[in-house]
Amino acid sequence: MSPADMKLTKRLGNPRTRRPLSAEERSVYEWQLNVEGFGEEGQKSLKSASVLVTRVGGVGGAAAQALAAAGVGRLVLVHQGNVRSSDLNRQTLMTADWVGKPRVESASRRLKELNPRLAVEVHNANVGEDNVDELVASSDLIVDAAPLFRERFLLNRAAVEQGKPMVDSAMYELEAQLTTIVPGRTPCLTCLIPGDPPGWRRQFPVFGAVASMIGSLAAMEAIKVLTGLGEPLLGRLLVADLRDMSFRTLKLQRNLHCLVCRDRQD
Amino acid sequence: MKVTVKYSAQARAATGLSSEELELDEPTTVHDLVIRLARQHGSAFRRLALDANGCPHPSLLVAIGDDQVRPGDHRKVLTGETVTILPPISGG
Repeated sequence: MSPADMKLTKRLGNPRTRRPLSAEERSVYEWQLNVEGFGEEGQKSLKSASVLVTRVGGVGGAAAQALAAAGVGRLVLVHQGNVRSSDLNRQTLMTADWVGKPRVESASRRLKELNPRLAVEVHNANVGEDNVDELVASSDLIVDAAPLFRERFLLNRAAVEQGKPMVDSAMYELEAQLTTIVPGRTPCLTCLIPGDPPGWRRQFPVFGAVASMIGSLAAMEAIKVLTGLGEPLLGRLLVADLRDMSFRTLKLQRNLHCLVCRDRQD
Repeated sequence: MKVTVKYSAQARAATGLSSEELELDEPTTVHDLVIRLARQHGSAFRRLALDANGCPHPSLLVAIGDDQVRPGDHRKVLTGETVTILPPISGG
């Protein structure tokens, strides 16, 4: 177990910090409480967990929705700006009547409708040098669904420095990718992508169904890491192509010279 | 020797291909294969694949079979292997 794993297990596994389930929660989560290897202990871990989701568009919104439904106790939502009509093909936490109003408020409203027990902290801002350390420190795990590489690199650096696991997701047209980064144990984002890749544009072609699919898978990875369930995509990259419904996982390499994580590799 | 090259995301758009089979006269390194593909497929793909010095761009993701390799790797591509070119993509 890496230092990051131990830190997380200590934080979520300590009986003094884990919050008990109410009768209402036992009822709401009845179907997943019967999942083998999860049970009431897993549910308590989710209830005690805080997850940073940035941003909450197509991918992050789907991830946040699945995490809220699963009973994660607290979500920190980060996304600057107001809803645009062109968001609505994929950003399922936004609604047509909310065009022109802040995205994070729409997301918070929808998530609280789904799960009134959820604590939501919203930031009408994007990840930057000025806020990344504080945002990462406020959460047990990060779901990175940011479209700009500079935001992803900042999150990755802060996650590695603070030993926080990060689920990293991406999409394009009918394709999507997902990996889970645990500092000290897996390659970090900068091991894979050392710098800004050429040719990436902020607006790219994609269907909402692709965003929702990979966002839901990102949520499942977060649940697995937070509760110790199953085998997360550690050191593996899921590559999905919905044109032919092919799903494969690539074994990833650490970069021993990585400027972000070389001093933290086991 | 024959190898298969698969193109993902923007590389598919830049080449107009999802995959192709290449006939190589001799074993070729990953490094040299990326450069060969960049020369073969024109400026849009070249911008994705090569850096300003004409070397494989370090942020290009490349896999042989199901194993990631560095784009500048001097590991030889063997006959029958499948190389996948995956320009980095992001969320949104």
